[in-house]
Amino acid sequence: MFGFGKPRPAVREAPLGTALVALRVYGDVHLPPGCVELVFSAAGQARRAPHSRAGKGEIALAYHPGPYETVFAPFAGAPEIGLRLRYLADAADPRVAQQRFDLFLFSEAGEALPVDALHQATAAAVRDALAQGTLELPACTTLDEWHGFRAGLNELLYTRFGLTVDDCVPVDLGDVCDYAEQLRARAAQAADPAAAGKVGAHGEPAAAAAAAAAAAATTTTAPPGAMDAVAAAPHPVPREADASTALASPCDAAATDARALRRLFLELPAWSAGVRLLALPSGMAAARRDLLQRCALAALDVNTMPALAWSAPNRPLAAASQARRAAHSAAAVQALEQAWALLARWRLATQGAATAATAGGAMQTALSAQGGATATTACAAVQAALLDEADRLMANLTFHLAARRAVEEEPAPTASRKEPHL
Amino acid sequence: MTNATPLRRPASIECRTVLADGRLAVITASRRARANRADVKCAVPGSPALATRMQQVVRLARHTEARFDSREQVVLSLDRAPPDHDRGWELAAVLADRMVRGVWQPGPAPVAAHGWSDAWHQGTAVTGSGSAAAALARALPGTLVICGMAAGGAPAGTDVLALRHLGALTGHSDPSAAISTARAWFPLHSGGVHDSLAWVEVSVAPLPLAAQGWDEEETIAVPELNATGQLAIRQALAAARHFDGRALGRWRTVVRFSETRFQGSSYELALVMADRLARGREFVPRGRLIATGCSGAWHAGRVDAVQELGAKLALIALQAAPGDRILLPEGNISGEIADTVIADVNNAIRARGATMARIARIGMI
Repeated sequence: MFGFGKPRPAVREAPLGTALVALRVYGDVHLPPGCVELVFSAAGQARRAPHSRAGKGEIALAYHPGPYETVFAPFAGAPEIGLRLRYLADAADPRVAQQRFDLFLFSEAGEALPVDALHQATAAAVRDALAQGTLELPACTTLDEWHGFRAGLNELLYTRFGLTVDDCVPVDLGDVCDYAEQLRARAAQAADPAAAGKVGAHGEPAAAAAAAAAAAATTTTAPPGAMDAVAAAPHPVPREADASTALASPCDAAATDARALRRLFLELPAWSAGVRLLALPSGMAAARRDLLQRCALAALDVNTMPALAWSAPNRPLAAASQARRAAHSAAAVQALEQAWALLARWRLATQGAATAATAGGAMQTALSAQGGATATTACAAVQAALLDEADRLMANLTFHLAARRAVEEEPAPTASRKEPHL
Repeated sequence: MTNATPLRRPASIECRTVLADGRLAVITASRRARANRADVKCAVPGSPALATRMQQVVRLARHTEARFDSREQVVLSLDRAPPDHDRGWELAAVLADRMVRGVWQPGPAPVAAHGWSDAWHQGTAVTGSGSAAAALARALPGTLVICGMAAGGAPAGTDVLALRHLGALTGHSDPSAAISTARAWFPLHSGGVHDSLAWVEVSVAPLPLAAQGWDEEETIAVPELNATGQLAIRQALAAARHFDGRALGRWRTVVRFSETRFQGSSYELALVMADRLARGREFVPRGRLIATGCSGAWHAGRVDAVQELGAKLALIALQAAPGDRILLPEGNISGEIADTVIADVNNAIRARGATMARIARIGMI
């Protein structure tokens, strides 16, 4: 996602804080003031040290803590209302062994992390959380709901990226984005015969079925959330074209797959450490142990994943199958991202459980005797729902990893097949 | 923080459809643990090719969902084989698949559907024939009939929900259409037994250059209402757009209702919210938007009280589905009744996965 294959940027004047968030440092560099230098050991352990102290096999990286500001529309269907978000990479938290932002840089930054890529990643995380119902930003938001959204957003960005939200306000995007103009453009596109010819006419069932079959061939193996990405784009792109350009060449497939497996390898243990630290109510120990066990098995599955390009020793895999495998590992990463969002929500729910119980009791003054009981059952229901969600995400992760591992036998050519004689 | 997990999920459901030769057919869907089997399994008597096609349709339509769940297998069966080149069952199969997984919860009434699409993976271009939908509505009274949009527009005069894309089930606008259409629902109170949720639909298209400079009320059309109702809607919408600040002189608008025989003005909040959603200037709920409220001063964005809120609340609490957003006027019930009644209803609605808010003004906070 963040430019693995790019040539090494010129490091004499590093544009950190303006065009780049983070940059891998080689040799002699002039860094702008305010930058933080990190050295990652080969095992991924980070320490704050200048790059000259990096030893053999270690990676030196520098980042600018920000703040960075972005404006985006959280809903694809509402392009004229947006959020202005300002976030920064805060000072290191001394209580944790590994800073989340360090893990994010090590796992996703690669050679350099452009500001735009970070903005896109945060916006995509917020959009996905809203589509999944992890965050709630409903129409005619009241003040309480806005506070709830802000709390969820802060926790989401901290848990997923290690970023601290400085400020977030709703803004009117009417100045920069004209929905009426977008609709006019769609009408012009529909009237364009070249574009219209692509859409199968209803009168030709054979052509339509062929088109649908082609779509099925490309889409059944595509990551399920790719539709969100399409829906989130301001101008919807045809899905087949999207899938085919994204995963056309085997080189792309290899890069996608390598990135995805690296992320899974690095982040799954960190995620399960986060789950282990949750202060769950009593009675959920068995469920958590089960969840952690499945996560460990998934991590084992990642660590022993077979190579992308080979179906068996000395038997290469077809390019289409490689693309399918890469799509499944990308889908597994998406499940991991949703698992981070779930962990954020889980942290909030366990932190707020005690305060919510007292607040719920105080709110229902007339029914204060019932209040505590209602709050407790509500809390239990929330925990059960979160556990079910974690179960779903873990099942999805396992499913995609199994599909990444699977080897589909190529069907025998029909010409050589012999029909039985009766 | 509510959860997306649906509460009521029957083990199996039925969705009726009409075949090209006029016979009624039933699509039955059930679900069971996946256990390493295929995600969708289909059966059509005497036609395995059609079963494969049905599986393909359902899988394609699932790409439009945000939530992916690999834990369940859905088994679909069509009880009789349709004639060749009949594709009207496709929408029924897609809806049955959604209902049995709880992705779409249409309420207690049975569901019948007719329609097909060439772009199921985007959920758009759903097409149907008006005569088949009318036949379904005649043959199955008391059924929620859903049909693809006919070539000549929505069938008039029948109790049919015509949709052009799957998001229209929850009132969302089509991401690929040149006309933005959004729906909002409002409760119709008629004495208890016949209470129902009705919808209002607002379609906006960019105002053509020739029509620039028209009065805002001239650009709003309500083809199904008489002059009085049309004037009320024009005034409410124009005033609410005045409050919006960036809406005047940009749009050509058509408003439609599912039910035109009603009195009162408590539909106005739903109308105004559907208009804001259609113009892309409001946060989009995951489910439907259900609102009741009127105003004496839409140009100030104020929301006033409505009558019979208790009965309407009871209806909404019955009909709410996960992801729905419910908006009520703030200054309606006063005193201690408000706390108990609203708190009870709020708990019931939250238990269903929907959210409720009492607002005094439209817009943020």
